[in-house]
Formats: sequence, structure tokens, C-alpha cells
Amino acid sequence: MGRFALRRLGFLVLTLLFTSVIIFSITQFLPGDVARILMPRDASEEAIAAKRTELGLDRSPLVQYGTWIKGFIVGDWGRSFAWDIPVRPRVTEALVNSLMLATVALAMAIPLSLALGIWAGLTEGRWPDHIISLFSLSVVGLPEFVTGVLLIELLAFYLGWLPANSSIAPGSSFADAFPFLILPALTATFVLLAYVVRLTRAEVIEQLNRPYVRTAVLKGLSWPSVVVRHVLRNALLPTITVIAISIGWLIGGIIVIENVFNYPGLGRLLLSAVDHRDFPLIQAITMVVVFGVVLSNLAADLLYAWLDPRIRYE
Amino acid sequence: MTQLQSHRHAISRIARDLFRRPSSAIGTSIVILFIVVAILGPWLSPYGPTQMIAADARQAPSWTHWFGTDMLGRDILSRVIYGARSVLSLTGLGSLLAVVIGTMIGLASGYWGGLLDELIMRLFDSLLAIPALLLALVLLGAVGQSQSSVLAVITVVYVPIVARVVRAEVLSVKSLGYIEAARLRGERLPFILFREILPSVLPALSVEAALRFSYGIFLVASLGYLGVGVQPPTPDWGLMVKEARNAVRLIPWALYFPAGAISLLVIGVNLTADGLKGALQSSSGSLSARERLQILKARRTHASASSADAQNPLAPASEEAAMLTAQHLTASYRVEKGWIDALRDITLEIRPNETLGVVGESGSGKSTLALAIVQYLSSNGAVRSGSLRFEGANVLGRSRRALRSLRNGKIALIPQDPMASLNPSIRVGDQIAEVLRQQAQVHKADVEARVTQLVGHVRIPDPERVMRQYPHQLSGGMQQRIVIAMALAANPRLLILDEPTTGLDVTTEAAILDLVQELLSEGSRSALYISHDLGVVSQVSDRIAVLYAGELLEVGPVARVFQEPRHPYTVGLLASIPQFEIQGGVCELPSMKGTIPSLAQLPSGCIFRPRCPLATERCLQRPELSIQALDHDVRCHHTDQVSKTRESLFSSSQSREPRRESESPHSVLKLADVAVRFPIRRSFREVIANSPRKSVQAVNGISLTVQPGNTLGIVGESGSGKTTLARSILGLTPRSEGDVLLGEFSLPAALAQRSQTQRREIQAVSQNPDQALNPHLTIGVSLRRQMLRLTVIPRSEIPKATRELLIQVGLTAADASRLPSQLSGGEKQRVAIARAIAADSGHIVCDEATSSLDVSVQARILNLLARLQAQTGRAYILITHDLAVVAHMADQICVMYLGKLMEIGTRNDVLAPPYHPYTEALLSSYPAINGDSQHAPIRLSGEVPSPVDLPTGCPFHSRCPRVIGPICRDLAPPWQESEGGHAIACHIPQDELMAIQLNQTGALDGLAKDGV
Repeated sequence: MGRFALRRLGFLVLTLLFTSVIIFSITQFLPGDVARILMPRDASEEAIAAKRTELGLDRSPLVQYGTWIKGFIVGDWGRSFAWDIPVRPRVTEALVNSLMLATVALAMAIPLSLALGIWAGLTEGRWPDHIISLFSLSVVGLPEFVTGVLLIELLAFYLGWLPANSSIAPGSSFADAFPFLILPALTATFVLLAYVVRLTRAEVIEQLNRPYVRTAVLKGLSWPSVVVRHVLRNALLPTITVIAISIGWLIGGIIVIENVFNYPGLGRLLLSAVDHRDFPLIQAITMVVVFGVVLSNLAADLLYAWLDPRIRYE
Repeated sequence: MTQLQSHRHAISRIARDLFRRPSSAIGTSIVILFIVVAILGPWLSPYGPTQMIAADARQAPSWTHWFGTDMLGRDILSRVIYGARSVLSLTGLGSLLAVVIGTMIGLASGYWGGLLDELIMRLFDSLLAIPALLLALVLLGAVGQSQSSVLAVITVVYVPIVARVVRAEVLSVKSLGYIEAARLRGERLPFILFREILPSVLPALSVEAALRFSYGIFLVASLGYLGVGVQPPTPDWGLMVKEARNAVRLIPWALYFPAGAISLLVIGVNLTADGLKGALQSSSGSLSARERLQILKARRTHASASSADAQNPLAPASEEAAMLTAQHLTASYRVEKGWIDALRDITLEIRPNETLGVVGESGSGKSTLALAIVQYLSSNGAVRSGSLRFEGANVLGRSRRALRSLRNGKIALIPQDPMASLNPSIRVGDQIAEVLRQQAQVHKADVEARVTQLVGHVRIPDPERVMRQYPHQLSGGMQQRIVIAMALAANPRLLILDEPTTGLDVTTEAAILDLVQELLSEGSRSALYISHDLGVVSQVSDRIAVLYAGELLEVGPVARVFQEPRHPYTVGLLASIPQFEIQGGVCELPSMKGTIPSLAQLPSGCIFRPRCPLATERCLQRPELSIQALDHDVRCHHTDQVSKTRESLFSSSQSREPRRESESPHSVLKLADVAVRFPIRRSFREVIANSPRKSVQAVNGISLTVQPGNTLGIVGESGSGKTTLARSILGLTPRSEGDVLLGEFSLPAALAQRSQTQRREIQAVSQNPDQALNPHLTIGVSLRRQMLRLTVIPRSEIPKATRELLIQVGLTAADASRLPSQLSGGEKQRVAIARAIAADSGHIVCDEATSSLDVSVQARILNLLARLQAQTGRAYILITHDLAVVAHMADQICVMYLGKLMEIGTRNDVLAPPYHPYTEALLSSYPAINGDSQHAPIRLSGEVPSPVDLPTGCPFHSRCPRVIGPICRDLAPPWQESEGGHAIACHIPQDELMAIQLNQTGALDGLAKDGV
């Protein structure tokens, strides 16, 4: 188990290294001449050359990457091109907001979709399964921005239960932000629901057909104990991975959702950074998100290994 | 041309499957509708996509504007149609590019493996750690926002995903028999990648492509909504939603129609993907709701009928004596076209304290019988008529609760494949304890002690330790003992054993059979023992029932059925088993013509009629089970004739052709000190500590000679290295040391370095007939490639040569145009043999070539191999775990254990004393019919040691029953050679071995005489 964890940790570092190279290459070398993009259209060649030197763009790519990654590790994330402010505080603030949203979304989505998935799997081919499957299928076709807009219409404008706009003040505490989080989190729930329900259902059905479930039934165990001890225990293991993957999904979804609800998180910050081609900001946000994804994958791997004796005793 | 036909066939089958289920039919129709609309867009849309009619602004849907207009007076219907064009062409083209590029990378990466593969996959893993939308935004930020950059983004985002799927598929087919066959004939890389591998990857790829397409639609729409994708005024669904959002209360239709279009299309694509997945996974796997209902109805109607029957007080009195009675039992499975009766009109009984053996080949319905008795037929199965009683009480149509009482202490099942039957995440002791906790009479505090007792009872050493282990930590034999302990925990009155030793090694099987016999003899317990192996059944049963294609053909006491079988099928089945007769290999095995009929197309009258040599007009009438002698019932019209002509009923007219050994034009194949090792990767810590590199020593210093035109049999249990040895001869697994000589010349270790002539000399027939032939190529194409690559037959002659080849192996010329899926297992193996002999190869490696076949099919394949050898003087290297097959076929036998040779010699030398102690144990474990083994039972204890840390001295010393002292542990045994090339690696001198082994048999004979 210790060796397993160590190996996974090694993979994590390697993945981060690779992604940092990818991101840096995309944002530093792909756009062509970053200095020219930054300077006014009528700037002189000398001015552009000076800007290039100022940004260090005239050095070799390897040196540029080295400087950037070193700065990133020690906490110097550079200055924003567009707003000329340090990147790090801006990103951390947005990150906290996004994490609050993600937490509420996961807390709503995971228990609900696991329950629905298990129920559908246990009643395969009968009416609860049909209804749940039909529901999750129709949710599959709804993009976040449509769900979000429809939920605002229904719950904010028509029923007036929740605020339509989630543009909370900077530095709001979780308690202050909570009412504004419900609608966007609900939207995110819909994104995750379809995916997790379908996978959980498939997993439960697969376990039900395993020979050891037959053994359990033929042992004379009661149906509830067959389900709890033999089916769910093994069916929920792969779901851990599913949840980890869905965190990656959720981040994609959150980018859109934050823009639908005007929520000041990483997604909205990223979009404005993209609009302004603010590369230091784009780099920082992307690295933070990738770190989150890789970390949740690691957590899932370790949890899986801890719960599955076949890996634990390797 | 045939290739094209097969593709067309596959595509039309998938299309039919897609439209068979309503959900995927709807989905596919939606997708097709959108595509048609997108293509015909300019002609269908009433207005231009950017045409503004100021007067018409903000109009609700009407006859002039079906979907209404937006704030600027643009027609929404036209914009939705043009939006479909934009989104479909962007995602379509993007996913297509991603699929093509990803497939190329996946194929290359998966096929070559190694460092390149590792690097590519690590890079892709890192790319996939960036959420797709985020990566898209970053890319768009870098290259600017335009339609072509959206296209590039979709491609970049999806290439890694496609490549990973393709790579995984390549890895799963790479080691299949047909890919190895292509490598053995020296096929070039493009052919292997695109003709052999790609078609097998296509199903998974098409599902993946559909999924990518659906996510792509989302991605494009999301980018449009965020305003970084397609730019206005180009019509784009995401962009339209964004624009409509601000005026949603004013003109809601401007939101609903583009949003609806996205949802509908995505749902359609998802349904299609689900349908594709289902169609490719299995044709009969899932059932429609209607079919399910019919099954339930069938179960219920019959159940109520039989429970009414159960209340009938006039039940036959004889039933009370039996433990289990089946009367006219018919069990069926619901398939696409209707019901298939897997068991028909079965009437039998199991008496108290009796073991009834059930034998039958695959498709005989023996497992269905077991599952029907425990009432656990698969979801599409039902007992449709007849009755089933346990101790007089009805078993059918019981409620879940009533079934539980039956399972708690009355009937228990011991199934095949113990690994799958145990829950992988619960300690084995706890799994046994679960059963005990169900029982009222077991006190809670006693559970643990009782579990220990049970585990010890099934002869597991150190029960306290084993109880705390998980199934995967135990060997197959141990797992089966645990399953048996679990079945015994409830102290059942009837045990159902369904092939409990199949898949286990012969020495493990023997030990489990001993245990089963012991358990069955204690207490008052009945059993139903199901097996395909007549030898096994004969050892444990009191009476025996012969099943064939779902019908009971013969039932009677074991001794009588085996000595005086009265049904032609039983006679044929018994005759098909290779025997240990000392003068082996001179006559053909008697064999039955034809194959077991398909349950969907059963012959009328007697079920065995088409294959029966005694069939007459009368056999068109179905015979009834009739009493032949006390307790011996047979379903045949011609039993008298069977008893008269039994000896000659199936014996083949021709005895085996004499071999022309001296004429064989091929060279001698010689192995000199061949070793194969697989290095184990060191962990980080081991590299730091500079600890020595370890390796799996699969084959260790093997030297032997294969004479031209002869058969060398290699026997040994799993882990003995016999398959690795065969693969190193073929070059599929390069040897690490030693030499393989063909005539005078050394063969390169790796297949890739061998010349075509060298490759031609050694060909193979692999174990699994289902994997031996490429499912996407016709038989003719498979054979043609073999001849094109390895022979000098001119192209124009190849069709004729193919026909001749097929006839030579007992198939017909018409079979050339068939696909492997249209052939039975035996027929596929015939094609594999035809492929191996298509070129004039001197040596053919047969790795367990008949072990997955039924015994009657095996007999015919063995005959074919023997006939071909006699005709052409080829040498065979026959690898098998089945001692009888080796005894029947081989001229020379070598016995392997843990990668080393234990004994080698002529067939007669190896099969008679003096034996190596391991050979002795193997022979003693072989389940011969009626236990007429000449040897005293010898059972091996312990487990096969790990091939990483080989035991010192003699590798067999840790399990050897004849260990003489520390010398066995410390010193490698000498090769004791005697005349005729017979050699044994053992410290005990040959004459001493001879004396012990003869004595033991003598002592046993003496005991038997005393008993009489």
C-alpha cells in the first residue's frame, strides 16, 4: 500500500510536469508574438522589441519555461497583462469561491445520483428503472447554460425563491454566499446526475450478474443482506473513480455555470482572461485547476486501493 | 470481394440491431433527420440566416415564422437550420479528424508498446488532466477565436481520448491466436495493423466516435454561449441561446428552439451510442420489456399449475422415497426468435445417500439442470413444464422466502470457477460465517469456532490463518475448498456439484475429488455431480445419467452404464476417450460423425438420429425411456442391437496408415539449453539499494530433440513452462539463453529476425479455436494469406489449393466463403490445422489444441492430426495437460515441472515404471474411468513454488512424496539416462525407483485380493 501510494504520487508529479509544459507551450509560443499582441497597433518596432526584452521573450524557450515554473513553485505567479495586478491573490480569491460552489454541488449531486443509480440498477427493467433512466437521459441532452437559464426562470423569477444573480461580494463567507450558491449548484447537479446515475446503474447490474452474488443468494441470505454486503460493496468501488472523474467534469461545467450566474469564481476569471489574452492569468488558472483534478484522481486511487483488498495486498 | 461482403454483412447486421430496439431506433432517426436538415439547409430554410426583417422583429411562432423571430427580426427556424449546418460540420469534421489521428496513434502505440508507448500515454494522460472545456478556452485564447480554431480545438481535445480507447483495444487483441498466426507467417506490419487489428477495433471505435460527437456538440455550443467560439452573426445554437437569454421573458421562443435543438440532437446521438454498444456487445444479451413479461408470465403460469399439482394428495408413493424428483421437466430460455428448450422432458430422481452423476458434452443442458434445481435460472430462463420436488415438497413457483428455507440447509450448490464464486472483497472466513449466522441453532459465540472447524474439515492446513485471507490470496484448489466449506456450513441434505474441478490442475483435481468422495460418504447426504469428464463422474457416482442436447438418453448404475452401455451415444462417448493402452498410436479413435444439434433446430424423432449408425425409419418416432435391466433405463429403439454390436459400432474402418518416417524431407529440430526469463521491474527502492534484478524463470535449460515425422508430447501442470517453451520455439517469446537448431542452422530467437523459410518450417495450432481465426476475415482469405506468404503457389492456383486444403481437413470447398462465426469449435480448429499445414512445414506446435473441445470432437481432431502426419511426415510438438491425449498421440514424452525437464523418453518408457516421482503423481491423479488405475493413489501436497525464487536442489523437492533426504533440497539431481534415451532427473537410482513403484502397485493388488 505504501509503495502503491508512493508510485501514484510520482505519477502526480510527472503529470503536473507534463501539463505545465503543455500549458506553457500553448500560451507562450502558440500565439505568435505576445509582445505585439500586448502593444498598441501603431507601436514602433523598437517599442515592441523593448517589451519583448521586458517580458523575457527574447531568451531561449527552455530558460523562459524554467523561470516561469520556478516562479510558479515559489509563489510568484507573475502580473496580469490586462489589469497589471499580481496574479496570485486574484486567482486564490476566485479559487475559494469556486471551491465553495463545487462543494455544495458535490454534496447535492453525489448522494442523490448514487441513490438513483442504485435504485435503477436494482429494479432493472421495471418501472423505477424506466423512469430514472428516462429522466437521466433527458438530462443528458441539457447543456448547463440551458438548465441554468431555465432554473433561473422557474425558481428565481416565477417562484421568487432564490436570487437570480450570484455575483457575491469579494471575500464573502460561506454562510453569506450560501443562498447564492444553491441555484448554480443545482445546475451543476444536473450535469453530474445523468453521468453518475448511468454509471452506477450499470455497475450495480453488472455486480448482480456476478457468480458470487449467485453464491450469496444460494447460501440462503436474505435479499437485503445480499444487496448490502455483496452487491453494493463491490458496485460502489468503481463509483469512487467515477466521482473523481466527475470532478473534472464539474470544473468544465462550472466554467459555464459561473458565467450564467455571474458568479465570481475561476471560470468567470478565466473567460475574461481569455478575452483579454491575459496569458499569465490563463497559465495560473489552468495550473490550479489541473492541480485540483490530479489531486482528486490521486485521492480516488488511494481510497480505491484502501477499500479493495486485491490492490491493498499487492 | 468476399472481404467486402463480410463488411457489408457486418454493417447491415449492426443497422438491423440499431433499429430493432425502439430507443436506439428513435435515436438513430433523430440523428439522420438532423443530418438531412443540415445538408438540405439552404433549400429548406424559408429565410436567410442573417436576413433581418425589421417589421417582423419579436414575432411569436406563426405560419410565416414557424419558430418566431428574434429581437432583430431574423427568422429563428432558418437560424436553427443554419446552426445545425454549422454545429454538425464543425463537430463532425473535428471528431472525424480526432478519430483518424487518434486511431493511428493508438494503433502504433498499442502494437509497438515500449518506451514510445509509455511516453505518448503519459503525455495524453496529462492532456486529459486538463478538463476539455478549459483546454479549449486556453487554446482559443492562444490562437484567437474563429471557426477554424474551434475545429482545431475539438480535434486536439479528442485525439488523446480516441487514441487511448484504440490502444486498449489493440492490447486486448494483440496476443490473440490470429494475430500471432499472422506474425508466424511473416505478415508485414501494414497488413497486421489495418487488416487484422483495425476491424476488431472498429466496434469500440464507433461507439467512442459517437460519444465524442455528442460531447463535441456540447463543447461547440458551450463555446458559442461563452462567446469565444463561433462569432456573430454566424448562426450558432449556443450563441443564439446567449442572445435570447437577455430577452427571455420578452421572446421565450428564441431560447426554446435552439436549446431544444441541442438537447434533441445530443439525446439522439447518445441513444445511438447506447444502441451501438448494445448491438456490438451481444445480439441476445438484453431483453425487451415484452420478452421479459413473457418470461415472467411463463414462470407464473407454470408455477401456479405445479403448486396446484403439489396439493394433490394422490402423488405417486414412490416419490417419497427419493430426495429429489424431476418429472417431465422442461427448462427454456427466451431468445430473439422465441423459446429454446435447453432441457426437455427430464425425468429422474436422486435417492437418499446417493450420488447421481450427470455427464454430457457442451450444450447438453447439464448446467441448466443444476440451476433449475436451485431455482436460479438466468433472467431469460424459466421452467415451462414438469414438476420438481425436494423430499416430496414442490420446488417450483416458491416465493423468495420459501426458497430461502430450501437453501438454508436443504440444497447447496458448488459451482465451477471458485474465484468468481467468492466475493473478492470479503475475507473467506466471514463468507462462511454468513451462512452460519442464518441458522437459528448456531450460537453467535460459536460461529468463529465452527468456521475454523469447517475450514479444517475441508483439509485446509492452518485454518485460522486462511480464514482471514481474501479469495485472491488463495490458490484455485484452496478457493474451491472454501466454496465447499461454505456449502457444507448449512449442513445441506443435497449437494449439487457443477463441474467443481474443471479448470484445476490434474493433481489438484485429484485431491478435491478425494475430498468430495470423503464428504459424500459421511452422514446421510445425497449429491448430484455434473461433469463433462466421464472419468471424474465414474469415480464419485453411484448412478449415472447421460444427457445429450437437453434430453436424458440413458440412466443407470455406474458399473452397468460404463460396462454395458445400451445407448449408441453412450457407446460413442466412451469410445472417444483416448486410452492408456500400451501399444498406443496405431489405430484411430472410434468417433461419432456430425455434431450436437443446435437447440434451435432439433431433429424430429430420436434426438441422436442424425449421428447414429443404427438409425432406421423407426427412429423418426421419439423413443421413450425404457427399462433395460434393474434400474437401467435407455431411450433408444435399438438397444438389443447396441448390446450385440457395441464393439464395432463406431470403430473406424481404417486403421491408422503406417508412417513413412525415413522419407520425411524435414530437418531435425533440436533444443540446446533453452531458457526463457521475464525480468521483473525493480521498484524505486530496489534500484536505490542496488538489489539484484529478479526474473521469472519460466523455462530453465531445456534440451531435447524432435525427430522428423514424430510427435513429441510435453506434459506438465500450469506453471510448468510448457507453453513458454513452445512459444520460444516459435519465436513468439524470444529465448533468453540456449539455442534452437533446425538441422544444422540456429534459428534466431525473435520471430522478426527469422527468414520466411525459417518461419515456414515451424507453424502452430493454438488452444482457443475462437481466437485462432480472425472473425472479420473469411476462411478462404485466412488460408490464402498463409499460402501467399509462405508458399510459391502461383496466385491463380491458390483458390484450387484452398479447396483441396479444406477437403483434406474434412471440411467442404464451400466453407471458404464462410466467416469463423458460422463454424463450430471443432470446425474452427480444423481450419486452424489447415492453415498450419498450408505451407510445407516440417514442424507443427499444437498448444492444447483440443483441450477446449468436447471429447467426441477431440477424438476426430486427434484422428485428423494423426492421419495428416502419416501422409506428410510432419513432426508435432504436442503440448497438453491431458495425459491420455499424450499417451495416445506421442512417440516421445517429456515431463516438465517449474520450467525444468523431469523426465524424457519414448512413450512406453515414460508411461511405465520407473517413473520420475512427479510423473508418477501425475499418472496417479489422472481420473480414469471407474478408477481402474494401476497405481496406488499419490497426492501432492503444498503449492507450486514461485518461479521467481526457484527452490534449490531439485525443483520438485518441496512437494515430492519420495524425498530421500537433505540431498534433494541441496543438490540438483543428476540425469539418469538409460538405453533408448529414457532419462530421469532424480537422486533415487532408477532401479530403486522401479522397485518402489512396482512394489506399491503389487501391494495394492494384494490388498484388493485380500478384500475379495
